[in-house]
Amino acid sequence: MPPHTVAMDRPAPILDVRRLGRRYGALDAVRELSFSVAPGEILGVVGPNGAGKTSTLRCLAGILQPSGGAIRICGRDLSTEPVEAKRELAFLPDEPRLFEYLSVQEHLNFVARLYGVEDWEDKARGLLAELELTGREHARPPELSRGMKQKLAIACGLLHSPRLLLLDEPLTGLDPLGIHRMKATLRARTREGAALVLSSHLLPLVEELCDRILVIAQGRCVALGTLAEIRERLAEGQEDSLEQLFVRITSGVGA
Amino acid sequence: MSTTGALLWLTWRQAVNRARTELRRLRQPRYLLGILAIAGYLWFFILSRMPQLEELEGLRTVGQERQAVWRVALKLFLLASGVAALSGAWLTRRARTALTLSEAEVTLLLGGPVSARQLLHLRLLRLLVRALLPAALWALLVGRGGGLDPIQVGAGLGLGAFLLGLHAAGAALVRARLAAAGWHPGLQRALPLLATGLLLLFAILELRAAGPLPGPKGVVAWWGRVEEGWLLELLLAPVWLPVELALSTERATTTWAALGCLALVAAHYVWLRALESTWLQAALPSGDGGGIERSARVRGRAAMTAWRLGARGAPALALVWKNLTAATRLQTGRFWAIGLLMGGAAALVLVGVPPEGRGAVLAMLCMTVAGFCALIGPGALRIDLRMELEGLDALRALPLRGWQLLGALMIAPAAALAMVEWALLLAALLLGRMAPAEWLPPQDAWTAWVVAAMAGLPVVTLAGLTVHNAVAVYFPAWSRVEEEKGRGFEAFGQRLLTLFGTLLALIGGGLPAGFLGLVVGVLLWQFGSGTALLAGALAATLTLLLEVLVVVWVLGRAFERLDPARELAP
Repeated sequence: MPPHTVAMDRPAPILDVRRLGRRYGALDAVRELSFSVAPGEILGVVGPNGAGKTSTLRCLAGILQPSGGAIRICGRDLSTEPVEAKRELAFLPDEPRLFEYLSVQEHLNFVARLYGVEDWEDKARGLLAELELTGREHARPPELSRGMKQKLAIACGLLHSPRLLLLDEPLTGLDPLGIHRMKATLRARTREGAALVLSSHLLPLVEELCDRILVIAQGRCVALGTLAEIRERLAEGQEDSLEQLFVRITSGVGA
Repeated sequence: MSTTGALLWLTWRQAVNRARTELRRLRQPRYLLGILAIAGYLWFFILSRMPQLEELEGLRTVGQERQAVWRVALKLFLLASGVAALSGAWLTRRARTALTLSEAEVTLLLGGPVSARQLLHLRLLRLLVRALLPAALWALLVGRGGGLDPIQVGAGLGLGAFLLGLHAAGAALVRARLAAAGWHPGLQRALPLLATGLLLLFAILELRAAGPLPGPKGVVAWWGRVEEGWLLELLLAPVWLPVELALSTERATTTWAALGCLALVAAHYVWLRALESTWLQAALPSGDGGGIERSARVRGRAAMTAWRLGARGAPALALVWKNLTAATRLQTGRFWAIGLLMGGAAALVLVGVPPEGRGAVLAMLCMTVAGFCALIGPGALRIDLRMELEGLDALRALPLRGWQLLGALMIAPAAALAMVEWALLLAALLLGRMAPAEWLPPQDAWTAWVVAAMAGLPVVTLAGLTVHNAVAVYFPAWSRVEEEKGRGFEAFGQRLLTLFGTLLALIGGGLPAGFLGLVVGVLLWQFGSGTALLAGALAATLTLLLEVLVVVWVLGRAFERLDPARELAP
């Protein structure tokens, strides 16, 4: 039995976070966060600036070491089996991190070897077409626009078909058509069984794409559930939008 | 506040805040220890020896001749370094120069009420400050020996660095303009290569006209004959005049050199002003639609990679492939510049050698350069963790253990340097075999020495790279490869730390390896000196390799614990 499935009908979560904490000196950026994300599910992470969203995502990607708690990805503990756990994920930061001296094609070749993607050329061709980068295979990052760099970072992240996608402001720099296609791409990945954690300040996007929402303020979880559940709990049945709920929740924190 | 006042305030505040950040970093025990190590190194190896130099200076009757030789040697070294930097400015393609604007400058200044000229002046001012500060430090360190005036040395070195910075920016802009005009990149590279080659050829002929290269005693008179000519001085003026200003002991020459330097600064300023429109396009960081790199490149053409990377096999090999590919793209110009200078130096040395001995001298030269390559190469070829520190997040997210990642990153520069070392040693071997018997040790012994070096030097290189990467792991804030920061306090601290670290590594790592090699060599002496030497070298090499592997594993653990948010915070 694969490590990420359990008996019974319900599949085990792809991402399981227990009491995650992250401290910067005296500042508790993330405090006691616990949540899980199931296959095919999109979790939206929202919160005011400095709430701890990026720190959380960077901890989940294995970039930052948590000060406390445990993270399991596809059943593998990120602290004891970091390599195996990282093989299952892709992290797409808000600023695309690319190698200035490698071309688009070479970036994909590099990622293919890192993750052992044997049919990478066919996959890469499909991804480049999907992200409208066909014809730019030999271009290097300094020759690409901001949006194209973002698309290349996305293509690199998707090439090894990760089970978990961590996205920090994924639509920054994309044009309207790019945003439309990106949404379709993300939905397609969830249909294939991938789990997504998406951090964004674009609340309509979160409302549109995400199955559940995690609201963080001052490093703490202040709300977690579907929009309807949060609305039920906080808006007493009123048809508030996520934006209205966000203002209501976060303006009360720390007061 | 006027715009100029605002720009000066900005520069001042940035400098103050940066100094504060560096001081705050010292709250971390590692950085405090690093500073203490640097201070200790400076004190024990340089500052505590100053009185001795002054005493030497005081013994004027005995010391004057030695001082003159020291000055000529320093002058030759500075001239060679300056010529290397000057030719490198034309031969290498730089992503950033001293005039490249930051993202914030583009947005807030260029997009605000600041004229291009004001912005250029701001950049030039920063370049001047950045050139003068390290020069003052070096002046303090080297300027007191040999009867030199520290203020004069500081002014000469500072103005020299400023001129080289201006020249490098001008060269990059000319290349950008040529690229925009549709010049082929090969032609852009070939022309400076040809000009550098011709300049070197001319320099060699001039030096040859002054007579064969003498021993230490005749070097002052020989150099006096070289200085009688004026054409070489004119051609190398951006390097020659600052060096003259730094080292001259005659008032008239100092005044003349100072005026010449100022005239050259003015000429470079006019040159840069003439290239202002190109600068406004090319000085933008690549993300803003500009970029010297980009404009100097041909679109839509696949560039050569290190080799075709398959999807199967060790994932860490992808990093080796990536960095070797980077080496072919980032270091080709530098490789040609160094090759040309080495060829020039070899030709210069051979001028005074009888024809029958040239092969042997060249063989020894190749052997020496291979040795230098092993010692200096790791500091110069930074295509390892030092190059990747800005993208530390991306590295940390890769599915590799710390030791795999560091090992893979270090293999690329190690392999590139080993190839150069082996090529030089192979040349030494072949030239040595053809040389007459009286010029070199016996054939068997020479072959054994060269083969031992072939085994040992790549591992010594790897050990050097390990030290540099250890500094990057433990002091990442001081190890980032950035054009702007490459001349600052961090760079100076890093250089001293790696120097100190290399020294410690040579003692700590070299002693057990050398001892074991010696034991094996002595035990096998009965089978012949060649066999003993080879076996001893092999034993020492394997021991050093084992030590390197252990250190890389330890560094890998430290890398996994490295906190990017804390270490690389601005």
